[in-house]
Amino acid sequence: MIKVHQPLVEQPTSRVTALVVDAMLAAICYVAAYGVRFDAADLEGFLPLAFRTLPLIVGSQIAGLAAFRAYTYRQGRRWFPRLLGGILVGTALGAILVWLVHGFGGVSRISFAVDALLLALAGFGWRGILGLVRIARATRDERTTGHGMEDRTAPPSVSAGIVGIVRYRELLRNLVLRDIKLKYRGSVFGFFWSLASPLLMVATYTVAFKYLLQVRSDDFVFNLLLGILNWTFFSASVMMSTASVVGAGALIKSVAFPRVILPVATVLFNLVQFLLTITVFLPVAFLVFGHPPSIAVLLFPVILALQILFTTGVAFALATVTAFFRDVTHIMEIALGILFWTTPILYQYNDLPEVLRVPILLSPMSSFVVAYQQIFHQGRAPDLAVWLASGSYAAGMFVLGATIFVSSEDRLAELL
Amino acid sequence: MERVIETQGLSKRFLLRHNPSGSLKERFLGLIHSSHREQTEVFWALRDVSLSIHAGEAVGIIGRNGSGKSTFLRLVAGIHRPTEGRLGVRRGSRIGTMIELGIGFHPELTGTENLFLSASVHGLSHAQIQALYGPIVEYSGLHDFMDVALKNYSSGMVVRLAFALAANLDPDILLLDEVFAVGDEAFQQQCIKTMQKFRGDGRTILFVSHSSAAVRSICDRVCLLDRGRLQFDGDVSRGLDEYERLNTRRAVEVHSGESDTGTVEGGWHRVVPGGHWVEGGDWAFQLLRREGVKASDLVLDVGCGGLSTGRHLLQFLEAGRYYGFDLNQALVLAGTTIELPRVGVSPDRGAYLFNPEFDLSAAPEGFRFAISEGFFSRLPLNRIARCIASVLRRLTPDGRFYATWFENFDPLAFDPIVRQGVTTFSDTEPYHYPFAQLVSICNAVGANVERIDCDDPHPRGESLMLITCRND
Repeated sequence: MIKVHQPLVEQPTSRVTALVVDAMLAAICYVAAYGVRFDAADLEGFLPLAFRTLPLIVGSQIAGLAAFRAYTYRQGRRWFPRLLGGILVGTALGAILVWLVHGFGGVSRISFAVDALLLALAGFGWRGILGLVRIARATRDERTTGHGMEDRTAPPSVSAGIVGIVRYRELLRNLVLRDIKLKYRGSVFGFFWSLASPLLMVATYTVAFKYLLQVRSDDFVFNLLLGILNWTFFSASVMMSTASVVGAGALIKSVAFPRVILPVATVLFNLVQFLLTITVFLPVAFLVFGHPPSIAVLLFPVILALQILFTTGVAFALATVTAFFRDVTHIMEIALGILFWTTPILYQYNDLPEVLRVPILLSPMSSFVVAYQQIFHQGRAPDLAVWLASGSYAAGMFVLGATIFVSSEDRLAELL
Repeated sequence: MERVIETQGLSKRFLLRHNPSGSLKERFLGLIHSSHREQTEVFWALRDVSLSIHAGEAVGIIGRNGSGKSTFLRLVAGIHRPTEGRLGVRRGSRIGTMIELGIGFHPELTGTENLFLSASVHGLSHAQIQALYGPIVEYSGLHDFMDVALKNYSSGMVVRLAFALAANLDPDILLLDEVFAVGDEAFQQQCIKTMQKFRGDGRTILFVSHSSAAVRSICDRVCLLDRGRLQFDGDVSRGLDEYERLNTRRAVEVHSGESDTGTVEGGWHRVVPGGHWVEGGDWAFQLLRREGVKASDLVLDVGCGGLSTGRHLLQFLEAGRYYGFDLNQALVLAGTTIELPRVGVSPDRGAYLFNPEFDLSAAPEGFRFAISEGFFSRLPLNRIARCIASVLRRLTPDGRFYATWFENFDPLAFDPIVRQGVTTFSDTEPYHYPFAQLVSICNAVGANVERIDCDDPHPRGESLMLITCRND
């Protein structure tokens, strides 16, 4: 049973607000589902029908959520079955209604499934963000009112974790610095290696794919490199995070500090690496491949923030679970191998058959990689579906990871 | 005075994992066969402890191994969370923990880098660490080595750096766990001096230790824990007495089968002298036999302990001819209640004396033999002098006092001594003395001494000397 001091997934105080937000998201998700399903050219033909069936779908989805008591239940727990059940049943009901009223002619059936998934992600996503806001507020209150005895029996909480990170930011900084120093200590050129490696990658991949294999264009190499750098950030963080808590056993057993710092430091260290490489890679790539950056580059910090949230969530979960089962390290090696191929890195998202796009986009890392490619290569804002998927994964994974970590945080000193 | 720590019914339960299945493979195998199944045992490390500690108090937390001392410290530090009860620590108190020294140090980083990292683990900000940096370096005396990687430090330097950091962290509450166990005499002196300075500054100290001397010199209050429960809370000397009594009682419980280890062979009274309990006793008895002890002789067993030698002598000598002396009553009690019944000897065949002053006035004069096996290695040199002087007064003019000691063959070398896989230091217990030093103290108390080379070596590798009265 997960015990959390502060609810992580929150419902707004007003039921009407919750209902309106869900209804709006449901509408957006349904349209986005069509957007994911069809290319721009085909989309125009299907859109009128999509809009005509929209009220039926949204109405039945909201009814489904209400039937699963998503708007009458206040406690910050058991949200998962309520939301998921409500959305799945609601969408199924909507599909039946559409079939009865309009028939399935000209209606995309796959879109129903896509819609249900997108809505589930979005529904959890915005409630998770709300939970984070509440936690931040509670944290601020806690800091302003402090006197008397501090209760050591209080269970660990997300709010305590956030306070801890702020209070121990010097430790966080020193841990990241330590890893950076250790990585380059003793090498003559130091961190220039990190700068040189993306340049060498540009050169070798260009030669290999463009001149030796002669099958691929500059565009492919650009996207490939963008994907690989992005993937490296994720996979390195994941592998390092499995050892972040287990490797600090002696420290955890003899000093009380916010344990949450450990996985966060891992992600930050890899983020620094990633930023170093990408600041070298991007200008070079823009020059070599002749792709001037567009205004869409301004969206980069937003998608990066989402990716950091997502990666941190994964790191939290893995750091905790590894303390219980050391097998996780090996499992993750295999899992990352599979995940690499379900992410559009060695192939282009746009080249995929339409049927495959939805499942590929729903692979956890895909939306981030596709977003990078759309921002930097195609020079445009990412698709709606990409935003929804990345936003939901970020919020959902962060909330899930934080929940897992917090629920076991006080047992770590006993397990190691 | 303001309360800084308060507990009510504080309890901590651990789940001890036997056959721990840290891997999924073991979990699956556990489903199939019970020998792979993880077994958990509930262990209450702390049970229903209620106390409050006020600002400026120096509290010694004493108790046997596994009594819950360290768990209590870790709960206050916030490393573990209580299972039951309440535990409050004054809000805003900075807690300094010296539970282990040098934690978080990395060998590849320089002294400075390690200081910053290690200080930030204790929650200090960058500015605070910068302000402390000068005093820490000065305290450690490692100014010239701060830019050197830690892997090039000697182990003594690492400890100095770690302690300098811990001593300068400027905590309101200081939690200490047996840090005195490491390092040499000078280091321990520095520790005690620092602790006393902390006390002078009115800080609160919680000090876990086995050393009564250290507790006496630092603390003004003692909490005695036994099997997780608070047995005594109050005055230092009464608390230490209580602890001593507890040890005595435990030694008896070993006999009744309630010991932690459950066997006499692993019993506390056999382990304290440093192992080879049986062999040491056999060896000493054989030595006396070779040297011509007769059943009618009066024999004094100095440092008789758990009666390893005594159990042979009591059988061999006529009743009333054996006198055993030890500093520790509990050890002798273990001997008379556990060891003698095992060999079927009545304790009434001998007499036993115990006091810390080597007061042998209760014993008669006229001992022809005195034996001290494995005892001097536990005594500082001045105590040995006092012991020899006391024994000499009870010997006949031709009486012979055989004593074993760990010999330090090179008085100027203070390197760790490794013998039979055990590492010791010449200047801490078990002590190692050069023969010349023992000669000089024997001369001072008016005794002759000669080294005896024995064909049958002592089981712990101690040397043997013969002390006799100077008849001039």
